[in-house]
Amino acid sequence: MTIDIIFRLAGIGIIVAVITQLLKQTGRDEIALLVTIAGLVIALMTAINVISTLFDSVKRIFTFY
Amino acid sequence: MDILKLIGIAICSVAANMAVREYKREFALVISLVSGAIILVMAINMVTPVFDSINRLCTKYSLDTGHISIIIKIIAISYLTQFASGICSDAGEKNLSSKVELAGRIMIASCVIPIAISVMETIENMIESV
Repeated sequence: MTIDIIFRLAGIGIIVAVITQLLKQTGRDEIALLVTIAGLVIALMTAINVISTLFDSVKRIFTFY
Repeated sequence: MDILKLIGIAICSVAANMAVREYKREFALVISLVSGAIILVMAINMVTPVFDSINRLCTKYSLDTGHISIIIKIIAISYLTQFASGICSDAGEKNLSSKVELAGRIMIASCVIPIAISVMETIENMIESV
């Protein structure tokens, strides 16, 4: 729940960037777009998990009154 | 000291953000979103002892916890609204971030109305009793 999530996301971003450059060089632009979208979906899944823990902890702490 | 851990996480996320920014801008947004959420989760876990002491104070002196719960609700609303509007302005959407802040202010105003009414009633009672 700390830095590893951030570095995993950075890793996903860099890998997607490299793969899209590679695919663009070999002329397959549509697949590069698909790879970008897939990477973005994975990153947003982890982001959603982190934000749901944030909202759960806010709900737990602020509604005991 | 938790604050050192927090600062470390913030700096690491800024570094990761810089690394990814010029290749893929959307991942930079996701990274800033996740790091903001992580820092807020750590910050909010530090708030619980404060609320416990407020709770003990209220029960000890049998204060009216109605107003205190409204104040705490207002803190929660402003907490989350500031988080959301920060994310929006990071992404460059100044317009969206001001809309979120406006919605937060409206909700806070709607929370404050009952307090204002109770203050007016107490003043009215004082005047009548004179």
